[in-house]
Amino acid sequence: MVPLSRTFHIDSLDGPEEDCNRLLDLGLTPGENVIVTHAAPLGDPLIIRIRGASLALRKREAAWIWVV
Amino acid sequence: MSCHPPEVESSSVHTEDQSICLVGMPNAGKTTLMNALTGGNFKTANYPGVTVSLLRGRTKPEFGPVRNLVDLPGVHSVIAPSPEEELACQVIEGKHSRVKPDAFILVVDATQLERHLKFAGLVARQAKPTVIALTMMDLLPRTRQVVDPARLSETLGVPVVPVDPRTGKGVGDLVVALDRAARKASGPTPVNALAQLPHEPVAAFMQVRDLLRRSGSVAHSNEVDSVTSRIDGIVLHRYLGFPVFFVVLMSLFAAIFWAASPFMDLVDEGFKFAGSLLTSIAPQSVIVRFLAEGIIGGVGVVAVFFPQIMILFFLMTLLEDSGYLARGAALVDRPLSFLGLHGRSFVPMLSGFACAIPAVFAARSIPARRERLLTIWILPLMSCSARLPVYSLLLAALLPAAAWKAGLSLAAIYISSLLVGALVAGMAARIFLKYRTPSLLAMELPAYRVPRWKPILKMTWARGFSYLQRAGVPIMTVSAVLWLVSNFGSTPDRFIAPTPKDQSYAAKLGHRMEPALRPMGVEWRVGVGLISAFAAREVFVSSMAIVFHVESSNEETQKEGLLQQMRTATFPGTDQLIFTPSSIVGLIVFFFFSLQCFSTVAVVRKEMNSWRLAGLQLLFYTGLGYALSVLTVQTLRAFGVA
Repeated sequence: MVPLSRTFHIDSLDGPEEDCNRLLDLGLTPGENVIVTHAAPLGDPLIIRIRGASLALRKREAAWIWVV
Repeated sequence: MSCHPPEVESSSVHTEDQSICLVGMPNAGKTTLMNALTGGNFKTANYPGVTVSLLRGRTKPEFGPVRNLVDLPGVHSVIAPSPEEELACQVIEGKHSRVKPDAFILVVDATQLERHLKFAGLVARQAKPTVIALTMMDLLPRTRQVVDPARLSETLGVPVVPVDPRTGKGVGDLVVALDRAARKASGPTPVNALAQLPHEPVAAFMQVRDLLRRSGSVAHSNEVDSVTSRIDGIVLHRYLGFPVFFVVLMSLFAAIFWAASPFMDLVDEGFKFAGSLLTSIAPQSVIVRFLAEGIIGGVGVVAVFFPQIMILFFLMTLLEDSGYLARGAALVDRPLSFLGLHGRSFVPMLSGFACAIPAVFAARSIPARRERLLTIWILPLMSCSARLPVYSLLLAALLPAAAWKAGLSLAAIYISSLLVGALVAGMAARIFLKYRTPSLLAMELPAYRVPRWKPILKMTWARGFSYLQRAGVPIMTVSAVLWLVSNFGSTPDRFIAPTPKDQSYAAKLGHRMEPALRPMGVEWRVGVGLISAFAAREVFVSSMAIVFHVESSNEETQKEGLLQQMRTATFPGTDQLIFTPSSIVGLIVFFFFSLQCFSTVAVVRKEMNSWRLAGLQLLFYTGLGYALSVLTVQTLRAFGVA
C-alpha cells in the first residue's frame, strides 16, 4: 500500500518504453518530487501530484516509478 | 443560426486556412479564451462531441482588424498521442493540409508553468509570431506560488500577457502583443529561450526550471491546491465516491429525460403543425405530401431530439468545465480497463444513452486505437433515446394495466444495455483484440473551478448546432427516401406511381421479408415499421401508425389508437393475433440489440475510416438482434407463452 500525502523522490522509471516516455514527457522525471494525494474508491487509480498537476495513474503504471 | 455571414469568403486577405492558432495543454483555458476573443462567435468545424474540439471563429471588432482563430485540441504529450493530440501537433508543425497557422497564442497555466512551458518548446521551435497567454493567475494563491509575468517574458524572449479569459481581463493586451510580435517577425526571427529547449524531456524540464528560477518565479509546484484537494477528498472518498457519482449520473439522466420532454413535445407539435398546415394547402398533391411528411416530417424526426441533446451537451460541458468529468472517468477506470476499455470511455458511453452519434465523436479523446475501437463497437448497445418511444409503445402493449411494471421493465432494459455492453466489450477484447495490457491512463485531473455560464452556453450552442448539421442531413435523406419507398409503388399501367401504403415498394419489401418475419412472430406490416426505423428508431412508432391505418395527428391519441389497433390486429385471413406477449418481447429484444440507425453507421465509418468496420458492426448487431429475437419468441412459445 502506498502511504498517502507523503513526498517521494523519483529515482527512475522502469516499464514499457513508450509508456515511460510519455510519463517522462508528462513531467515524471527522475529527481522530481511526487505525492500520492488520493486513491480512487476501488483503490485504483491513484491520484498523484507532480509539478503542480494532479494525474490519475493506475497502480500498474505507478509501479513502474521507482522512488527513494 | 448562421453565425457567419457570407463575407467569410470574400472580406479578409487571409484565406480561411491562414489562422491564428490557440495552442496549449488541456485545461489551460484555451476554449474560454477563444470565447473571450470571439465574443462567442465560433463554431465547431465538423468536430462535435464533448471532448475538446477544433473550433473556428473570428476576433471581435473591438480587437482591431478581424482575424481568423482556430482553437486546437489540448496536447498532454506528443508521445503516443490520441487522435486529437495528433491533429493538434500536425497543425502546430505546419503538416496539416487545411489549417495553416501564421501565429500562435500559447495558453499557459500559471500554476503549472514547468509542464506547460516544456510543451511551449514545440510551438516556439516553429519560429512563428507567438505570445503566451498566462491563465489561472487567480489560482496562484491557492497553491502558494508567485509568478512575475514581465520578468518571465524577459527571460523567455516571448511576450507573456496575463489574462483572465473568464472575465475578459487582459484579452485586449494579448491582441496588441500579438500584433507587435507579428510586426517584429517580418524582420529577422528573434531568438527565444523556449525555442532552444531540447526535445528530450528530462533535459527540457531542467532547462525550464532554470529559466523559471531566473525569472524570479517561485514555484512550490507540489503544494496541493486546498480547495481541489478538499473536494477530491469527498468525490474520490472510499465510501462516498460512488454514491456521489451515482447522484451526478442520476441527475444527468433525470435532466435528459424529464426536463427535456416538454421541449421535445413542443418541437414535435411545431413540426406536426407545420406539416399539417402545408398539407391543408393541397391535400391531394403528392409533392405537397412529400414535402410535408417526407421532408418536414424528416426534419422533425431529428429536431425532436435536439432539446435532449442540447441538455446533454450543456451538462457535459458543465461537468467538464467544473472538473468533475475527469474524476468520473478516474472512478470507473478500473472496471472499464478490466473490460478492455479505458477510463476515458466513460464519457462516450454516457453520451450513448442520449444518442450514439455524439458518443462516437466523444471517443476521440481515447488515446489507443484498440480501446477507441472497442468503445465505438459497444456504443450502439447503450440504450439511446430514440429507443425510448419504441419501448414505451411496446411496453404499454405488453403490460397494459400496470404502468409501474412498464416503468420497472424500462429501468431493467437500461441497466441490461450497460451490462450487455460490458459483456460484449470484455468478450471482444479477449477473443478478437487479443487484449493483453491496457494503454496508459495517466490522465490529468484539472483544478475545480466555478463554471461560468456564458462560455458554457456558447459552447453548448456551438456543439449542438454542429450536431444538427452533421446528423441532420443523413437522417433527413433517409427519411425522405423511406417516405418515397412507402408511398410509391408499381401499378399495372405505370412502373412508378403514388400508391396506398399497403401497395408500396416498402409493403412489397415487407411481403418479401415475410418468411424472415414469421419466426419473430410478426408479419409484413411490422416489417415495414422495422425497415423505416433505420432512419431513426423512433420512426417505428409513426410508421406502424401509418401501416395500421391509425388516423390521428395528435401524438397521444396516435399512440392510443395504435395500441387499440395492435390489440386486435390479426394475421391476414386468420383470427390469430399478431401482438402477443411473446412477439412483443421478441420486438423489444430486437430493438435492444439491432443497430437500426444509418446515421450511426455513417458516422462510425467516417470516424474509423473503414467501411468494413461500420458494415461489420451493422451486420453483427442487427444479425444478433434478429437471432436473439427469434430465439426468444420460439423459446417463449415452446414454454406455452402465447
